[in-house]
Amino acid sequence: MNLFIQAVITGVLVGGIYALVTLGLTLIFGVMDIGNAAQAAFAILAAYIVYWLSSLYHVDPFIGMILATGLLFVMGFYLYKYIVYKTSGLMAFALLYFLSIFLESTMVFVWGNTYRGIKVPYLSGSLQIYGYYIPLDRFIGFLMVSAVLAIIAYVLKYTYFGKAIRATMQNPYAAALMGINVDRIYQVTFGIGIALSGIAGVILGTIYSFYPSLQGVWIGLMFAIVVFGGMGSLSGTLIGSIIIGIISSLVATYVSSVWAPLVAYVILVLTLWIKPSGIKGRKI
Amino acid sequence: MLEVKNLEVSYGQLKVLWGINFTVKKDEIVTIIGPNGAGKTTTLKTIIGLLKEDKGEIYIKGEKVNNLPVHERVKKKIALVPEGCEIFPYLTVQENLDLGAYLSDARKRYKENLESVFKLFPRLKERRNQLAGTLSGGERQMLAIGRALMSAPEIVMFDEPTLGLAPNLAVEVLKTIKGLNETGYTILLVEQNVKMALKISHRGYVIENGRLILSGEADELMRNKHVKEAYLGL
Repeated sequence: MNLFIQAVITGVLVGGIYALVTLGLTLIFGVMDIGNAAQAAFAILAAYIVYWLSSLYHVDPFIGMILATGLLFVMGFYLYKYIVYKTSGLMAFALLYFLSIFLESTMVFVWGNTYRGIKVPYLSGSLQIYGYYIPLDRFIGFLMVSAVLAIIAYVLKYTYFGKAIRATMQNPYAAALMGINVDRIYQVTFGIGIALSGIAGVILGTIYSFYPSLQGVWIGLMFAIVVFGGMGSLSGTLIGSIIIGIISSLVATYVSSVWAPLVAYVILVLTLWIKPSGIKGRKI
Repeated sequence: MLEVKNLEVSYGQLKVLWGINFTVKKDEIVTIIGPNGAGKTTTLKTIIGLLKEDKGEIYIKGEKVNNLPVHERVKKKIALVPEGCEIFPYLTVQENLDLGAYLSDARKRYKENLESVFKLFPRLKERRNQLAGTLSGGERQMLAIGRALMSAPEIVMFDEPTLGLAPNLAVEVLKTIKGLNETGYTILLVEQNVKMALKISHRGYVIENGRLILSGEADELMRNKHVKEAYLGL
């Protein structure tokens, strides 16, 4: 029983980070119907930027995260404004897939394909609550994920900007009639989506080691979560991530960690077979 | 308030409007009538900027707007209530109305505008927390009109506002439009329901095959032989 609860705790913590790394993908998919294949590459890029800033210039990883996130927002904004908006559907996917490989190769060229990790000395060790171990880095990561999710939910629900995003998602023509600059909404959403994966990439980089081709592993998992949660549904992504996190953790504990990466794909196939619209049938 | 000169519009290779001229003066209701596919909806969409013209000029309050995108034209205080309402189905009624007041000018007058919309359509107030997608056809039309009014427009264009409504509801909607005109809105109306539309209008234009074939005072048009035969079934 102890082992079970410990596995569930770990699963929830990991699932929360899955959610954050996937959230940007869901947002971009929901608003623009674009599958951003480069999402995970940007996450790894952010991790490398912070690793580089902290190991060479002794920048605190959390300051580094803020810088990297800002940089990724700007990259996403202009990437959409000048390139992605000209494409759609499969063409956009192909272009972004090309970009993911390009980023991966560039990272291999600059940093090499070896394992790196962002060291945060003050986050080593574990909390112990009622005899269960909660690694401090994962716990802090989870808190940050929750805070980011809460902010996103608040902005979407209550601000004019968030309502404009949801309106554009549901009906871009009518949104324009309301005086909403639809192109600007697309640019900003793309920037936010990329920036979100950056935050997640940095948090992951403090917990696990990473290397450029890890992006290929991550993007598969992320698309599986998006389909399982319901294409474009933010709450579906959150629920789906936690479920996949818990099941993966249970499989790793009771069967073998070798099989844990398969969980997401088994769930993907089952979803497409039984309920192709995912947990939440609709967008946001 | 609104002037269109020599407007030509195409969908790809297919020309839909062949040089249309008309004006809407302050405090008027002007109706454009014509058969399906004549180019009425195209005209409204081009005025608001959803479609790009090949040739011609569009003036809103004396200012040429040809090169402005939709969200900039809306700032000139013109609103379109589109065909089929185009409400945001997964937003609540309240959120749909909030978006009507998206522009900063409209936000300043949010409270009083919301109050007058709820006064005009008490049904919307009752359903304010409901998702707009759950509304009936008549309620959707109310919401589309209310949403347009939230932007505090001076000119309101209606594209087939009675489409798909039961006859008694259609009368209600047209009465509402007449009422809006009396409280100071300038209105451009596109309607299939020719008789009712001309009854509430000051002037009218007839478009057929992308060309303007008739124009005049509303009662004059009602007595016109062609209008009688083609649109009034007399």
